[in-house]
Amino acid sequence: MNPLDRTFHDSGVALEHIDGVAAPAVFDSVEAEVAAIRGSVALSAMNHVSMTAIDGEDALGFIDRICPRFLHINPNRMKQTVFINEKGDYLCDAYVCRDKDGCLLLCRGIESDAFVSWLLSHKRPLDNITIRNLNQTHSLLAVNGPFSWELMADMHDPEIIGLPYLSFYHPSEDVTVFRAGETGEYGYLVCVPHDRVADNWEQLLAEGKRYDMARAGLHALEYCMLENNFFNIRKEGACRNTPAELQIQWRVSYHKAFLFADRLKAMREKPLARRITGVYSERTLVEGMPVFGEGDARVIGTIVNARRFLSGPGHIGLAMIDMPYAVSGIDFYRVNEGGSEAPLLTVSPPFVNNRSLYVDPQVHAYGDRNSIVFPPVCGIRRLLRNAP
Amino acid sequence: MDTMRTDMKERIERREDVLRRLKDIFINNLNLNLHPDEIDPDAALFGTGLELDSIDAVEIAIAVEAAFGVKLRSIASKGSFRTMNTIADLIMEARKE
Repeated sequence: MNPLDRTFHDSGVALEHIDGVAAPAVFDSVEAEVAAIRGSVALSAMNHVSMTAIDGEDALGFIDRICPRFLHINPNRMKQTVFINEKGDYLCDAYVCRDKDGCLLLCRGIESDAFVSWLLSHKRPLDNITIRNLNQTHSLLAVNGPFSWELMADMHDPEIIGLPYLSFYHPSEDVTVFRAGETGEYGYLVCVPHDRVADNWEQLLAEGKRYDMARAGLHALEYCMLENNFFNIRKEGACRNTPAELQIQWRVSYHKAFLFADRLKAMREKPLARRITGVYSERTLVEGMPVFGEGDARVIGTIVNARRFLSGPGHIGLAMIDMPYAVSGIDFYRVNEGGSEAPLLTVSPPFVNNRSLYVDPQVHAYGDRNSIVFPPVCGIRRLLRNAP
Repeated sequence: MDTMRTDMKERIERREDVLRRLKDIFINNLNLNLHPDEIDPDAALFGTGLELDSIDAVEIAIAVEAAFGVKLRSIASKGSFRTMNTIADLIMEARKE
């Protein structure tokens, strides 16, 4: 347990065990935490993310051999992928970050020790690489929100505003700042040594007061992932579905020769039997709930990820729906909630209009946020059209 | 599909037709080295996913308006061109479907 996690534990923060660590689940309330992510800035502890450094002259070649996605990637840039294991299952989702002397991997869905063991099991005797579990020495923080760039500029360097999405840099030898996030808002990940993480956390909280910053736990982060349709390996990723069914084909390259290319090829050759689809209902949606088709009792799908919608009325979710029913914009389907039927609308995620789309770091500041014209946060066009 | 009620079947077919045409526009106008089946309708078009840029967006907007005979700019917002499906929503809204 790193010093920050110990603080959370000792101060009674609600924790959830995920991928071998106890992660803060909720600090205040999910609603307040999501409001901060969507409207100002939120700070999160991300120690459920496995961090691995692979150094040495063969580092990039080693990753390329086991990675299902082509890694045409410049130094200090990062790419998202999903690692596939020898059984053809999803091992974890990942950012592959090309550093000057090797690679950094940020993965979700796997314990850091298990991931390092998996990597070592595919290391060849002549591979000139060293693999380090960074979770043993470093912690990861996340700063998300439409004004997170302003806080990060205050804390680190004004130049950080120009850091492109999916890139990273080292402000000092043992600190790394990644421009990445999965909330749909401006986001940064900050990797710092364990012995400084508690101080960093406190400094961010202190500086963040000017931005009405809140602490955000795992539940708020995963809610925002759902609103923005970021792949969640703990939810929809837990289904044994193909990349086409999960709509994550862009994370893999079918034509790439890598260690488990035959497993990926086998998945590709399966006919598209079902597809993950955004859904909305005025009534409660629950994971595992069946989706019924056109006026009969036929089950055409299952809800795999769902939450009460915080940016509008009703519930939003993702359903794995059979083909040819898995199409957006259809309002013929139903769910059965508490013994009574309720209509289910298939919709196109993201479910929100992210504030970050309308905030320009070259022009705006949190202090003049009231001068920015934002559309409604709710991004479901059908609901907006029907609004009074 | 054969046993599906007619109005729903037509709605699904119209939507799939829009998506098919959209994928062709993207592949042909941007010279994407992808099979249409490899483009997921809810995958991000910018940043991640297809990793397109703002110049691509302008080219696509013009091509989509020409191909479908609709004016999207009056009903589009900054979030409208995020995925194939969000563009399909716009097209179907512009066509009052």
